[in-house]
Amino acid sequence: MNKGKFILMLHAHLPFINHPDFPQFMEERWLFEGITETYIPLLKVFERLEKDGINFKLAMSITPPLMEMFANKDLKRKYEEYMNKLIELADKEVERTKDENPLKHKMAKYYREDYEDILEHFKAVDGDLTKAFAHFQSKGNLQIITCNATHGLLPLMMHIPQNVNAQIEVGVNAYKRHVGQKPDGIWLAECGYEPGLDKYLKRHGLSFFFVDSHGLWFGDPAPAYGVYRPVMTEEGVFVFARDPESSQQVWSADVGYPGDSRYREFYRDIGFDREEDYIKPYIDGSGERCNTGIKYHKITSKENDLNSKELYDIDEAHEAVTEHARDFINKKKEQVTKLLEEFDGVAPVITAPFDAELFGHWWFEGPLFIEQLFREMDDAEELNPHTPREVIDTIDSVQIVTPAVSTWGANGYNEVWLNGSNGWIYRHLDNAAENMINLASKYYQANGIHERVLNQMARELLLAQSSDWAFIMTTGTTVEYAVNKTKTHLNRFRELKNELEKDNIDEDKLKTLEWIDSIFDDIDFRVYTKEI
Amino acid sequence: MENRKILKFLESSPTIQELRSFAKSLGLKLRRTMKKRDLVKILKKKAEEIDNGKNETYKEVPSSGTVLKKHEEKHEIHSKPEAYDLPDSYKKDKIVLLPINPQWVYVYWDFSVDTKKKIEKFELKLRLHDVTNIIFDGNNANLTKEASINSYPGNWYFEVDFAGANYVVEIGYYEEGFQRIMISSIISTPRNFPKYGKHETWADLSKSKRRVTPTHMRSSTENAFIGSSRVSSIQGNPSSEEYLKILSKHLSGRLFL
Repeated sequence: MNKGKFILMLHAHLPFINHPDFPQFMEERWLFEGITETYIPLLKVFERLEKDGINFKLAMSITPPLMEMFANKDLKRKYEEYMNKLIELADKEVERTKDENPLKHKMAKYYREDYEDILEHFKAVDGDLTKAFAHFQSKGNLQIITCNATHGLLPLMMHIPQNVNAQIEVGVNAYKRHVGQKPDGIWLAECGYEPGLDKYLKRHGLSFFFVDSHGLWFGDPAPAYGVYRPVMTEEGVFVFARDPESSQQVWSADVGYPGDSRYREFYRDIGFDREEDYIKPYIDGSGERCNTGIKYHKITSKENDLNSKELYDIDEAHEAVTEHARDFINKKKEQVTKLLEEFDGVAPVITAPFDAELFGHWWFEGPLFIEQLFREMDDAEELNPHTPREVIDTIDSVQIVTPAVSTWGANGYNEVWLNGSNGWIYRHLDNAAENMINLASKYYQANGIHERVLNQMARELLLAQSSDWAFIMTTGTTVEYAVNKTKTHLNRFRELKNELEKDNIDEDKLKTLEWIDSIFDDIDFRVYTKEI
Repeated sequence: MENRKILKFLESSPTIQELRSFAKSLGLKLRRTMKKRDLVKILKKKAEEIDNGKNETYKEVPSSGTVLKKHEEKHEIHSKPEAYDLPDSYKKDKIVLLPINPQWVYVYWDFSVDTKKKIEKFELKLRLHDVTNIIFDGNNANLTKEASINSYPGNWYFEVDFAGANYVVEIGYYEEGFQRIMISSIISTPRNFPKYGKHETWADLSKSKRRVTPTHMRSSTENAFIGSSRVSSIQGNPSSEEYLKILSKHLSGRLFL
């Protein structure tokens, strides 16, 4: 009897945020929180599974901006500073909670120990988290894939082929530089696909990518096995599609696991709860309050407002994790049994992609859920975890399908990134891209400082293209930062262009930009002369 | 976020701390010096804005490319990003059509100085043509929608009739018939329905061969693995609607912001 094949795919991504010219910068905390709450906790899960001899297999996209930030010296130094402050705060909390409440005190001690351990992990690999993840790739447990360069939404770039090519090529090169080998697969930003993209992927040696469910349901033709077997595009690139049931189980507002009353409440944080004098050294330098990561309350119930949340008990939460992981696997077993019957014994492939940061950052117990999930699956007869490559290697016969235009954004298309709040960016992004393409041909032979200016222009363009900025404008939080990021990179691009064309280059300013917007050290602007 | 939610929150006599974090979660600009009444004021203003429909997306009205607020306010926030303004026009003739979803497309345009001079006295029109399955000669569109425009440069959101259809947009004016100034490339709206063919193609990987077979569904109840999920994709795709709901409720931005 065939078994079902389960692919867990975690998409780890944060936009490139680097402000070495400031002693601290609020938005740099996104990376620090990601490292503390998601990336290192995931590594610790993998270590425990490895130690216990559990068969665990998964795929992760670590996007080029994230790999670049992991390798950035300024950010590494700032992360250590940040963690030292956090440990200092946790120390104070351990003292302070002694008289407050035993549950709080227990958590305070937990946080102190956890933070110390995380910092130790970070130092042990010299902050090189890509390498730490790559260790599990070399063991065969994890397949790391790349993403297009700065997570630009490719379906909105198709009218400028050089743009698309540069996003793919630079993404592939970044992977090679950080991981030391070629990427086998790619996660297309926002799961965004449009027919024709497969040509670019093929050209850059990529053998698979992912689409949302409707990318295959509405594919040409509708595939025989729905989303439960990979298909191949005309160009010979494999496609995996998201299983809606797995996502539903985790995400659903009514029954989704992260909403369980026993789990930790995201919004009660001592960054907001403690008195100003006490908390000031541990929040943003401006005095603006923000999350510290130390939280003492549980979700309790949806009816409770933030002020009436009850105290969190980590042991109770861990029981919930075990229940939920068991429930998840039981449902997968049922699903596999049903699909096997429908497919006359052909093994179904269940692909479950998630944002990695869901696990740990917002669902505090998420990494542990992943750990339990693999422990439960280890005993399951109906299904096995696989990497995408392992699945491809078992395929003899595959249907040729052209996936439909799709993204995994709200309602499945481009509206999250193109609507009344952010539509204005595209004329500016397109204009910059067209300038870049023209100048790349015109200055093809450039060297010395001119070449540096052109390379920096390519960096500014790519940074402006991150889908993150448009996304933030839609969701409506920290909009000002996203608007300014878009404008700042476009403006830096324009200033560099003017200096280049007038041959009046301010080298000090160039040096500063190379230091601040330092993504893709080895970029070659001539990438913009290539279509496919 | 409905304005009711804001007003309800204000009625709950929130503390200054709660006011700050709530206002922040709405993306409102805060200053450290803001008193409680200032916070209440900006929240009320926000609720009013929503009420007036300022936050509505797809309104079929022209919006200029420069709807951005000027960043004049001085911030005391220590870690503040830079602020710049971008040019209103790049002074190039250009019209670009982009697909949003199966129901909407977006068009933006710009003019060179010369063109702008020539057309100033005319009333400009955008014409969106459905050119599915035809070779468009300017007059044979399956369906045409028209909009009067009054901004150079500018942009427009068009509601369209068909998913999986081809569209092209032109800009021009009427003077003894329609005079075209510019025309975009043809784009397709995404398909939101399945496409069944008579045949399916399979690749035999070990022999590097392809074979074509008649289509046959692998389940008597096709719904069990395509159909039922298709319905859920439209009504409640969990990684989309649900996802954004959760995001906007619990988090700021992509789980972080």
